[in-house]
Amino acid sequence: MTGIIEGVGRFVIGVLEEAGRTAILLAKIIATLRRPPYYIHQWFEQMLDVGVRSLPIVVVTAIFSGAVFALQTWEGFEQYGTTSFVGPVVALALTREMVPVLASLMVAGRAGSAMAAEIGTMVVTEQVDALRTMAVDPVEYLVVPRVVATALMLPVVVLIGDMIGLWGGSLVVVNMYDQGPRIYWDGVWQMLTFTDLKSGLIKACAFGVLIALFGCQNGFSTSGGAQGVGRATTRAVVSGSMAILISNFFLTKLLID
Amino acid sequence: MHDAPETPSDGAATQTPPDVPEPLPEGAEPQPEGAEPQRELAEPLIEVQGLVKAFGDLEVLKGVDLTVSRGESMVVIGGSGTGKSVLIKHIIGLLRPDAGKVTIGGRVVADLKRAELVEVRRGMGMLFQYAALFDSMTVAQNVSFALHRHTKMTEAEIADRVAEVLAMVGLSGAEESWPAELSGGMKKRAGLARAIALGPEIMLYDEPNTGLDPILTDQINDLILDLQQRLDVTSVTITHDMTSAYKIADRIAMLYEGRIEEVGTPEEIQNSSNPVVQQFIHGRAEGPITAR
Repeated sequence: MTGIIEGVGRFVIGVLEEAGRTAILLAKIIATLRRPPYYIHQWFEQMLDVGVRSLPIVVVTAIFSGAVFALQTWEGFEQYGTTSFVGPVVALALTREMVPVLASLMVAGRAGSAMAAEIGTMVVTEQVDALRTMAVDPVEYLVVPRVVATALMLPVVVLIGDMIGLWGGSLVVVNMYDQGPRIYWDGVWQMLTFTDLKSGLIKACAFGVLIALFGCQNGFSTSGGAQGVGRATTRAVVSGSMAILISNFFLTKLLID
Repeated sequence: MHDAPETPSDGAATQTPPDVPEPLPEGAEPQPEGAEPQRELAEPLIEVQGLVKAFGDLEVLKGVDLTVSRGESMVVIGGSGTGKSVLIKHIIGLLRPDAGKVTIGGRVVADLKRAELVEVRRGMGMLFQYAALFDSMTVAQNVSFALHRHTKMTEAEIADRVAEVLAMVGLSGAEESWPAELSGGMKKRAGLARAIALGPEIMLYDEPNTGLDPILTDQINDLILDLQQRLDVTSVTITHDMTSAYKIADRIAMLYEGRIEEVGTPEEIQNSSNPVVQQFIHGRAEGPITAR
């Protein structure tokens, strides 16, 4: 019994510690963003890495998410003879929730883990200390470009994912169930508003900040050798994914209100 | 601003480290253990006073006092895990002391504001134990890293400076090599080239010979001596290799149980009657120092 309580206590302390460290890092980022130097070259390099190089996995995720959702929706709506609503429902679900959340989870797995591994390796090999000795602030040089790039590029990736997801839905509805493409796409464009897209893009921007924050923070708190880097990478993905799922509820509530 | 990276230490007293220990002046009294010998040295540049640092329950430094004069080559020796690297990291402000202070040119490192710390660090170079080269950059990019950020030099001037410092460390032509392609000794040289690129006034060497064979070790020692003479820097070297310590030191300080056990010239250290010093410098298993 004591062991269970100790375990729970340790878990809670661990979560609070990580939340505290992440909040401190966020405060440093905000302070750093207010003054030069800005390592713009690093910003673009990270935008390429987080945005362009994440596109293939987001495209695959979006196309199959759209297809599966259309498949499931068609099965349900067919019973009530309302299959003409499949397009609008797929559009709302994809743009508001599915693509922002699933794409962000994929980017957390790909880019967030890479951030933790790269920074973690730099920590254990004293490269971060070397930066400091050369009077370069690691937050400015390593963290800010990653946070800015992820916050800016994830909405772009999600927007592309939205379009690809809708196309994935149409593949099922039009090709498997022989609904006229016009019915599907007219339904999509009639229902979809800028607010729906905007809601997903705002979420993507917030998720981008969280992914980079948890990735970098876990990288900086790496200790030990290769095993420590491995642990940091795992923690970055787990905590980043949890942060996305939990914050999604509050963001949705905020955006609906 | 460091527009010209070759800036030597301004007004530094020229004190080149001897290859062999200097004999004690005739009639000189041996110094009491733990006290610094009375020598005529230039003004103090680095002063460590009552430095205390603990990591959790482990108190690593328990009140370190050490003064390094301008132009001097100070070597800090001590067993593994005695806090030598912790000491050097306090000097460059990578760690904050729990108590005590480190001053550089009269300025307390821990009290420096951001811009002041940047200025102080620009005047310092550090060679890390495993070189700590940025593995995502070529040798040239590593060496030019600080030049791009802290000078207004043109690309051509930076390329010239990179070639110049690489030549100084015997790595001419290695500009486009990646750290992963370099041997241990070459990595150390590249790390050294990066550290001296801005023309530092103070050089810190953290275990510069770790992992190197005896010949490479001696080559690195020669390089340190050569740079000391050419750039007229003040240096602090951390090592537990006594051959290197005798070769590059003006003075040697021994760190033991969180304090400086003894400071002296290489000859004074060799002739010390302190059993701790004697056990360490002769590498004996028996004595007051026990395995950690």
